[in-house]
Amino acid sequence: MSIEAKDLSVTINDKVILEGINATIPNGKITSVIGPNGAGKSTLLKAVAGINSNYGGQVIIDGIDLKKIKRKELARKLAVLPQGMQAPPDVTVEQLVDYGRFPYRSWFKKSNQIEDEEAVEWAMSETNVSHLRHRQVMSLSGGERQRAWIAMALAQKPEILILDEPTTYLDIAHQLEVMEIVKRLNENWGITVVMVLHELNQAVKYSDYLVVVKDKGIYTAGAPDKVMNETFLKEVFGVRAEVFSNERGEQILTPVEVLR
Amino acid sequence: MSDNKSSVKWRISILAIFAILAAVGFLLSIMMGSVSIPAQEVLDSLMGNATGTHEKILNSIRLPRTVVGALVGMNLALSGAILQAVMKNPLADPHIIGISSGAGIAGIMVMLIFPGYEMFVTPVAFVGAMLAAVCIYILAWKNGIRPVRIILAGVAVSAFLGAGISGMMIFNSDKIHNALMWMVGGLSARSWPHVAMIWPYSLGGGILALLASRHINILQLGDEVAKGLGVRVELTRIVLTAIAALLAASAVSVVGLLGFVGLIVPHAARLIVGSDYRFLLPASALLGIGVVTICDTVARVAFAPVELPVGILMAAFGAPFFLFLLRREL
Repeated sequence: MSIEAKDLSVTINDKVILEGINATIPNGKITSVIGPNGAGKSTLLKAVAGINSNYGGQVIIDGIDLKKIKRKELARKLAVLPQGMQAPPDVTVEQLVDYGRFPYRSWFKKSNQIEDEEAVEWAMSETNVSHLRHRQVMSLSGGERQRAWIAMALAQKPEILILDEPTTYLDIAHQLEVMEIVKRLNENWGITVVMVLHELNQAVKYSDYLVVVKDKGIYTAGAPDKVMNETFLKEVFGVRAEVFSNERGEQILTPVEVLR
Repeated sequence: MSDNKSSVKWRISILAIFAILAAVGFLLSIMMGSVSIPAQEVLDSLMGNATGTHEKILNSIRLPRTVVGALVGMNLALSGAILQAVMKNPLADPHIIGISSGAGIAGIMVMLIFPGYEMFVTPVAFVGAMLAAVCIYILAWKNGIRPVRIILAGVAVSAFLGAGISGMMIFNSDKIHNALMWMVGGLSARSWPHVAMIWPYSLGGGILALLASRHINILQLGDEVAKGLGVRVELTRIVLTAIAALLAASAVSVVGLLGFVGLIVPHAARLIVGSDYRFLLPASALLGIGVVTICDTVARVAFAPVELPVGILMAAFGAPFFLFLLRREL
């Protein structure tokens, strides 16, 4: 499923956050949205995910205007995890993941229980939280908790997964774990992933496509090796950095100093 | 390390215990009073084959009063439980959306300014409660509703109406007794017309709340997650607030401003069965029935022939019990 933003603009409390955004998110790939704090990355994600429908212009998903898709129907195609999620203290991992089946249930009709159970089991095993199923979500460590939330999103059986800073506040091992899960989901199940990342080396390593947001607009977009260079880091982040390739051919950047 | 609160078996047994508590409270409330009536006779009468000598007391006084108490307890507890989730605030209760102050000022206005028309207290209080709730919702609206704004608007409107209530009471301090009873909330002299006033709301509101329990569960995960899962958050919040307002308004317009049930009962139920609303709503309703009927029985019997308003007793016993639950949990 493809996502396309056409002349997208978002104004929150009379303040323009995004303006004139035109972008296409490639189908079946991992796309990272990067850019400085306050550039409007999360705002872009929320508009594209249908969480904030207060925008100008258009978001088009699979050729259909986002605003014309029913919420539940959208939730069966597209799953989104915002930042800083909270659950009531007694909700267990299994219950939380089961909430991901909500879009398949309706007021009166019973859902297909076997399908629900299969989806929940699949989501928990993909994210490696099956053994934590009876634990309370809020009692887990940061990395386990993030995986449990991703499992909830996966239980929606989405074709598109949207994640807002999935690795923030996690230690390096848990960050990599989340990134590996994302990569597997993309490779094995063809899920299109769009995420906001702050860690640029991870963005380069795990993404097929980068969208760079700066000053309410899109600075550039493209494959990581086309986007990532010293000029880019200077112009977008105001940082002098060295970019080089390691022996595996991966691009590595090392920040040197802040340019004033 | 799994928590026993989340096992379905545990939660169903708790529901069963609450159901027994509600039934016991209901029966005790009918049996006990200035005249004690044996359980056998009460049961016979409830089954419709009245043979006993106390038939009249049962049918015209005890039974309707008990039914009113049970429905009030259920409505207020359900209302509080719904509002705590919708407002995402543990202090949310029917008071916060203006139900109490709206019903309070309307009821007291009838009692003090138009003393000849006391039969209109209930409908006027109901209208007052709903007007205050709508007013707060409109005042809090700005590109949608944020719970914090509702709560703050609610506090302000309640303070404003509270000034009106105090003012009226001071200017009419000679006929204040009824108004005071109304402020505390009580069940004395409540009868079949009051039952008729409440039950449609209990039935309709109760069913709608249970149907919405899965939506309420999702709302507890936060607006953004709920939207992502396909919930129409604004609409759901308006509908649920309206259900909660109707449940509470029907209750307070009949018995006055019973404060305690709507706030504490849902919390007590939550501490015991957890926050899954498919269980929490019935648990709150049953506990509400049990608490109000038992407290009203004690209020009638303990200091006979003086009868305490049930509101006083509930706060006096309920608050310490709740604190006990809270301490044990932490």
